[in-house]
Amino acid sequence: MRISTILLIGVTLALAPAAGAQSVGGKAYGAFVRTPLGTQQSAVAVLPPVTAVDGAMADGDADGVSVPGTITTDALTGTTSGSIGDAAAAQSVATVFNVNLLNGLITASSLTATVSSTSNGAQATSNALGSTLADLVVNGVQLTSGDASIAPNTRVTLPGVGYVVLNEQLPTGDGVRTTGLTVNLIHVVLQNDLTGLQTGELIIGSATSSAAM
Amino acid sequence: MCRQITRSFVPGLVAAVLFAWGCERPASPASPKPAFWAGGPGTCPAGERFTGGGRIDPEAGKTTFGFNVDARDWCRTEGGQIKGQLQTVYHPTQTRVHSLTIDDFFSYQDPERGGRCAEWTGTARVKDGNGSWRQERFHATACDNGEPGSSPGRGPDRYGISLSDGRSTGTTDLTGGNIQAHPTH
Repeated sequence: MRISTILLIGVTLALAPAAGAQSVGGKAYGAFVRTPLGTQQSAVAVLPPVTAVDGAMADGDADGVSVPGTITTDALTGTTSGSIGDAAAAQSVATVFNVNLLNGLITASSLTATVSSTSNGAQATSNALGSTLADLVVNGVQLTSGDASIAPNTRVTLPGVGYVVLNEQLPTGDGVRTTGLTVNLIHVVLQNDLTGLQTGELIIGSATSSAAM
Repeated sequence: MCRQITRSFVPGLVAAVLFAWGCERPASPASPKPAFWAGGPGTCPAGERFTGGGRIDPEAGKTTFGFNVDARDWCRTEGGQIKGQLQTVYHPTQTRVHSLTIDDFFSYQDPERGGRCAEWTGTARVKDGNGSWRQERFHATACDNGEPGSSPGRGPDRYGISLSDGRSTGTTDLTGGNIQAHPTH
């Protein structure tokens, strides 16, 4: 066997997750705004490293966000926690009040993103139960009345702006030992009207959790 | 009477007095805590570490939360420390609650569902909407009754929080998220 082949195998083994490795991960934030003028993130919480037989939590909050013509909100919060013991578990929550995007193109009275992940080494699951968008109006169409959920990955075209994905859900993991889920309640993709190229994005109400055992 | 008050989030002197007496602890699950306790062996028969996050929807209104409490030192040594933190958001008034200290903890088996419950108290900074931050006492309850902690219906895990100004969610089934208890080893 050539030395290069041995090195390749060694590197591959070093990067592969160790069998039985335990880990949890989590992140939550109220708002992420990226436009040609700059990037801003608010109420960010990132779960610090959690060792075996331990736990941790992180939180963030802000009184509001205001980027004229792009976004205004009232209070935002992000919370994430996780622990490892007999099972690995992580859960994250993001909340945003009184959302107004793109001069009223999208409005909601509140957003609640909730995700949780657990793994016991034989079964690993994640869910987004409790994730809701209250009094959501998109381009003049009322999609929820009161506090209600939206079908995952609902896409709505925003003429002249781009599109929005509502209750965007991005799962990861093998469902046996590893699992993870990200929920972005409002994900606006800004596009150049002529070329269709992405020029920016807004993500409002995002929560991520993952667990491996 | 006590249960009716604790299931609302309405401020009031009577509720505040009941809080001081420990009546905010729900009738279900019962909390078998002695009158005076400083930690030590026997304090935590149902677990020394609890972590959780998610959502409850009590009659008083939607509440979201996250916490991690580690009482291993407290549970094993009288006068030991309790580590951790808690954040709770009460949505109707946009009230944010962040723990500053945790100074009491105990755990017990959920008498109704067989899981593990913990209760802990401490100080927190509290802010209603765009008001000013102030400091209050809080008392939190969390019960782990299996996985997943929340189902398309409700529960089986539970969470609740009370503030010294008399507001309380009552201990309520999760509608999202999870509570994870780690047994005493």
